[in-house]
Amino acid sequence: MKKKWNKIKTFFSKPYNVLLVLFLIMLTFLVVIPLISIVRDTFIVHPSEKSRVHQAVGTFTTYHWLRAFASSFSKSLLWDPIRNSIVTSIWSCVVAILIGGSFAWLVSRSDMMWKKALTKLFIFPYIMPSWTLALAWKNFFKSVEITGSNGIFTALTGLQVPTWFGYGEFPIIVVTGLHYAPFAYILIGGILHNMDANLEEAAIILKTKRLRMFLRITIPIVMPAVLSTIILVFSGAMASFATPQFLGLPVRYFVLTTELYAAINGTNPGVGYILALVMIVLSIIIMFINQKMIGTRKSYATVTGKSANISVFHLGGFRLPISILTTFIVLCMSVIPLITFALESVMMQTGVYKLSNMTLSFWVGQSQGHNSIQDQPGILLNPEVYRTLFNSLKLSFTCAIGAGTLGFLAGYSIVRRRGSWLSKVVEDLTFIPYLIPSMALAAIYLSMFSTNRGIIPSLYGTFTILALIGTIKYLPMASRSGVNSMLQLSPEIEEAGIIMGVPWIKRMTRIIIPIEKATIVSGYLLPFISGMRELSLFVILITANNRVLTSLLLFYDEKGFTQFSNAVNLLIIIVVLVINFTVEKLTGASIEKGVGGN
Amino acid sequence: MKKLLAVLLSALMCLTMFGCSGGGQEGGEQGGGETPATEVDKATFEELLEAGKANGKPLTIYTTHSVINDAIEAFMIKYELDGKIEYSSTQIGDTNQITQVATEVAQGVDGADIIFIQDGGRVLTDLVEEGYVYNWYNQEILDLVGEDCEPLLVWDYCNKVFIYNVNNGENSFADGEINNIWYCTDPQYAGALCLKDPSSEGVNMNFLVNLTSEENAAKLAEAYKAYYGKDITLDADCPNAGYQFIKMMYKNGVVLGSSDGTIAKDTAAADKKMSALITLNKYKKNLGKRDDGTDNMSFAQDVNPVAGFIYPIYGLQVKNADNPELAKAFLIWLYSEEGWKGNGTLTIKDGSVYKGMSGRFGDYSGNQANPVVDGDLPVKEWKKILIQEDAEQAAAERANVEDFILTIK
Repeated sequence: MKKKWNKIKTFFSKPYNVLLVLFLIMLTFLVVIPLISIVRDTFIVHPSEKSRVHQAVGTFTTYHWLRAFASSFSKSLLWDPIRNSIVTSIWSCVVAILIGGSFAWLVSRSDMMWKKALTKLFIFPYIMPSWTLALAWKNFFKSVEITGSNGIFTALTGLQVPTWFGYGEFPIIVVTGLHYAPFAYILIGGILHNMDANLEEAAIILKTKRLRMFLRITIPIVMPAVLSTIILVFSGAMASFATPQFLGLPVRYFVLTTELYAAINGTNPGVGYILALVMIVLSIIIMFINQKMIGTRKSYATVTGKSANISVFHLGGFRLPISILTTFIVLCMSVIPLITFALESVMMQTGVYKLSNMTLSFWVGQSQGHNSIQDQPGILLNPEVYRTLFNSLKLSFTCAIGAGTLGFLAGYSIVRRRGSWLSKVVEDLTFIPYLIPSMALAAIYLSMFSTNRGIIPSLYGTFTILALIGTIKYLPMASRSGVNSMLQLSPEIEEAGIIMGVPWIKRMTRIIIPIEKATIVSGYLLPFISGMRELSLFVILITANNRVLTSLLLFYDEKGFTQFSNAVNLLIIIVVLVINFTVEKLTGASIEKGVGGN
Repeated sequence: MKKLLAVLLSALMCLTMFGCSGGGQEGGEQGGGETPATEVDKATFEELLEAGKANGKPLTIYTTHSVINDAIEAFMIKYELDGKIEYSSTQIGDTNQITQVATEVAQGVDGADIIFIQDGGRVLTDLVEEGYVYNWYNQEILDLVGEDCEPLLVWDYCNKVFIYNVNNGENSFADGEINNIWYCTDPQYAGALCLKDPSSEGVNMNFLVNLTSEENAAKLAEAYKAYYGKDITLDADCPNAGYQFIKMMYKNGVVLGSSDGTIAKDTAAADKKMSALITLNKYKKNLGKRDDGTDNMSFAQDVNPVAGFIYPIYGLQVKNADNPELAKAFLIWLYSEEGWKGNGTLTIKDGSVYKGMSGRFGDYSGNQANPVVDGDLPVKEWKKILIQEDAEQAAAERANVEDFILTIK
């Protein structure tokens, strides 16, 4: 007995063990129970389902499962959306890796021009809200066949855009791929940048052909990063809602998230929860395949030995054309969307691209009354905009502190106890929120925390519930960042402190945090940016008093206040970019480090 | 990951063993039955106002209509309650409002005292039948509103009509061209109708559900014959002409949009024949001029058998209201001419004069004595040419129509 007690005492004398146990308890409550709640919700009757299930609310039923998997509705409710989700997610991975990987190679290994500016711009699509590119695509390639009016592209060129190019599967794949291309760039670029040049030099000495070198050396080395990108992009694309909603709805192209949205907001939320489970299972399958291929998932970024001498590929006569082409593509991804928002926010009538049709009233004008499209003040004169902007900043800051701190501590404890089952379980638990669709997680938190739970009072309608869900949802990225930063730090450094009798807090604040400052701040930056541009996670938890800027944007969009919604969208992007670059300048932190790059 | 799965599965087993048993509410087998009539309250406006003042607790309002935000300010200022009693009004869409109100009342959390909400079908099943909100009116309201007090009290009517682009040669509709609702099933108008996705716009879904009632289906069958010159033949999966219409409309490429405002903008800018079923107010807001000075849109009033639909925004009391008396007094005031369109002198917080619904197309008071805007029709005229939302039929049949759309979309 005493031996056991001593074992426990020794175990808990190590701060990282205490942390791991605390994380296990916390994540069980905030991640596992919500996950189980989703399962439970697929077996009960919800209020809006009374008239279809014909049972009392809250009672057990298998109706939803039978309806989803074994009814005449299965095809349109489940199988078609699954097929569409898988197709768009897989092809989005291909687009992200092709574009992000090629760009990473050009930046890391070639003598392409204007690298510094291009790398900054290339990150834009990830900093911008996920629907940004979708809206820009719609503004640009609107098809007369569908909406009746032309987009900017047709107005400029006179060329009609085919429907498949403007709406449906193709643009969803391209837009989602472009949104996640920065992931591929950061992860693959990190490896290419640090790749040991000796390998290639040896191949050159042996007179190996360039193609063979690329296929036999470069590709195998970047493969872990490619596979990591696949997990992140596949899960992200699978959970993406705004892009398929904007680009798929007009041609009735439905994916799992849009079906989930319709089901949860409609009269069959039970089926919606089944769709959420299906999405989680599909993402877990991809994670398993990935783990099998990698062997073991050490981290989502592979930190290799530093090479002092990276061989640069000279593009020769292709240098200028490739630089111009890359610049064009990067501008299309990053700057053109901003221009379309600016343009759409000043146009009185849609589709009339004339100076006489433009006004700044939607930014700085007064309300023109009930029968005008400008039936409220311009966004810079509207107190509601400032109130929601303040709420957005407050919430994003809180989520960043929560997720960033927990992520760093999780990373520390996971790495220090690497190899133990506790470390493994905590590491997997921290990643699970990434696999749960935002909307489903929000629905579960709504039902979980709208009533007293033990010592936790009802959190419904409070700022706390928003901060809590934001912290948990952004924990995967922050903990990835934490794990990566700790993997780069040799344990001997901390062990030296232990031998000297330096207490844990002092070791953290005086040794580890100063060394890993930039990466740790990056772990805070990513949740902050995610919080500023988040919509689906907060939308059903937000009440009158805690509206944020993105919920105001959704409101404007639902009401068809196109000019206001484009203006608010632009405002969000500007705020996020300014904060991102200020933090970068002041601390050396960056999105790249937050995602797991170097 | 295996260990994690083991943890998850164990927890799942525990939960499913005790988590799904019982917990059901009594009398759950409902949905769309006849709603019992509300008892007329004897309290007068003055009595309720005084009781509300005495109560002194905050007044909280959720509304789908922005005008209520100004109206509550005007009301509180007029009765010198501004600064004495806290109040707030928040614009929330109907779906989110249903979730929010249901959660707040079920959990006993502070929330709305009164709501102004559309989508009668879901309001009945999700809020009224569950006892979260209730229909209330007194004799004063009954005298003004009449039969529109039941099954849910109508505060405001809005209408959605077929709008179309005009004055753009062959790329637009001619006036009178849309004269039969079956036009949107005609291959020559393939993809020429746009409406907000019924799965996210409850009133649109209710309209489609209402089209499947026996009465409306019979009218549709007659209109079909008038349009195509032959009797309608129903497909095996279509129980009546209402279902057949929905199926043919979807198969003919109806375009689903995400907001009436955006749809109106696109219709106005269309370079092909384009029409839409949207609110008259959004039509008016987005009505513009072409280069030659002519209007770029118009709307159809003479359509066989219906030119669209009219749906109410209901004013309903919340069960656990903090200040129900003041909420009721405010509701009564909204039916007055002053509440509806202001009196020209009542100033609200931003310094502007409260105008209520004055000058607003496409909104009609539940009190039909209140005036409509010049150029618009009174609600009784609209009711003759539009389908009026039948909340009870929508509540009863909505699941069937939603399922039907699932199979054809």
